[in-house]
Amino acid sequence: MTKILQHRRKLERSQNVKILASVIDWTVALYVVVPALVIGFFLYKDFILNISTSWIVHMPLVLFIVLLFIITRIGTIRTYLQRADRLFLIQNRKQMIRLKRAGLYWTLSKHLILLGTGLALLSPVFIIVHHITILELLSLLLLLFTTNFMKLLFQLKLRKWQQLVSNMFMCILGTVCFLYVPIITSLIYLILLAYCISYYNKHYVYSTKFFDQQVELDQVAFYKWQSLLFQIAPELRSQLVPKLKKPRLLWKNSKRMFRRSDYLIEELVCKTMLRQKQYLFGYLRFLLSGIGLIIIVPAWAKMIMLGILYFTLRSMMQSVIQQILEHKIWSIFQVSNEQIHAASRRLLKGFVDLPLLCILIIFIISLVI
Amino acid sequence: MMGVLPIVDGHVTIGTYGYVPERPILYEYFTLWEHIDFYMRVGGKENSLTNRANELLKIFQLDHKLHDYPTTFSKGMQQKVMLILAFLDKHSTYILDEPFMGLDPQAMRKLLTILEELKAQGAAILMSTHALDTAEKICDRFILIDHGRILQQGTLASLRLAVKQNEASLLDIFDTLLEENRHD
Repeated sequence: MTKILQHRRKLERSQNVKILASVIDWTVALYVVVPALVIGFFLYKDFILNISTSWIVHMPLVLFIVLLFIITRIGTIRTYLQRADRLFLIQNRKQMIRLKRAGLYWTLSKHLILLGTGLALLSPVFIIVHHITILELLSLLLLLFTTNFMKLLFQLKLRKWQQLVSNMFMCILGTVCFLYVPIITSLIYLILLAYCISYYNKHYVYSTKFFDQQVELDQVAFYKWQSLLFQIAPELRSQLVPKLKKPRLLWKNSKRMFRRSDYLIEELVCKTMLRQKQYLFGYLRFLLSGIGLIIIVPAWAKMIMLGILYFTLRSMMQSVIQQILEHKIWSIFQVSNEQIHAASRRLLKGFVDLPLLCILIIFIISLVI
Repeated sequence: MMGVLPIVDGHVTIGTYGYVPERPILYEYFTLWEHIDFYMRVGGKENSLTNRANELLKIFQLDHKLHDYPTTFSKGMQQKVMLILAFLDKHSTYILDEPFMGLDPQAMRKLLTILEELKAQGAAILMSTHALDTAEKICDRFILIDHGRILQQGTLASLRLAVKQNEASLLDIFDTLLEENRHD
């Protein structure tokens, strides 16, 4: 059975890697992910070293705990079931139980590790600012873990409004327990957790009553990263064709954008950017979120952020231009390679170099003033 | 070049050519006029080609659709856009892949007239088509192909001689060759 689990996990991993590879090539990895990790480390270090003067000191502990209870969640208990299992695997009850049980323990272990890591990263806030002991922190971990598992059971068993009420009650109960009697309630929560696990085993592992529901939930979890990526960048789905019969705004009467008649590829790319909203919004999202980050990070990180923005925006524009140049229309529009190279250079200057130069000038002026 | 040795490898270099693909290739974010304008600008000939563009637009009755996206046109209208782009500039070579597909009878007649004009001007036209009766009327030489294999090639007279049928149409010749090929 572990073989089936391993095989299905491998399949999921390879799918996620493929999706990631389609958006993060080595240039993005080199210029964005690595610097982001380095900057993240130094920002975190800065935050910890100056924690006594940071804004977080003014945040009441009770609010902090309530927020933790609200935002943390398990997601889905993975079963790794597939639709075809209704035909084959369902006939072998023992194997099916082993697969679902392995899925349960895998999900719980992963959540425990993630929750533990999150609390470990936040531990300076608890220990330095709120003087909480390690033992109390561990009890918080247990309270959060049990509450999240219970929230998941509510999701499977209760109606929406019942879920809302129950979740709120569990959050308040967990907060009160942690603030007043953390150690004793931990023992009670441990018993509760054991009961929840046995309940889940009885109703969802040993029983096949909820097979279809479990398959649906697992499929959603399987395509989680893919769905998230398409939500963030819908332009990756496909090159969408405009639904209108004719352009409504700007250059609607087929007028030229540029006076120079040799700026023809530039015109094609610019009009495509204007008429294919996903391209335009993708570009603006990149540019504006980059500017936003440059504004909020400390002075020393601004230049690094500017560099990162330059390379990401350039990669993004290059991929947009490449996508346009891969269109079949170029078998009809017989342009030379020289024309393409010259146009690409000018487009990158206009879409990347110029806006970033403006940002740099504003940044320097703000430093001088 | 003499046809003594079979061609096994090599390149054919031709200059710019007029091309009509089997299925219309259109740019989703360009209007009809933008397609034509882009095509004229590629060769830097917009001044000399504007009149020809307007003439072709009138011939194929698309002059009222200038600012619409051709991707929203019917199949026949999209084919007309392809024909306009292919015949906009004067070329020495034209490659036409199923140019009659989706055309109404009136447009087909206009296309035949244009092809006759280009032929008279000395242009080489390589056309691939299933409309054998139409091809018989306008083409000088034929290559009959079945499943990627050349069955016979030459002028109509030489093809008739090959199948030993003096009055046979191109379709009859093709049928005979297919039958012979099956028996072989």
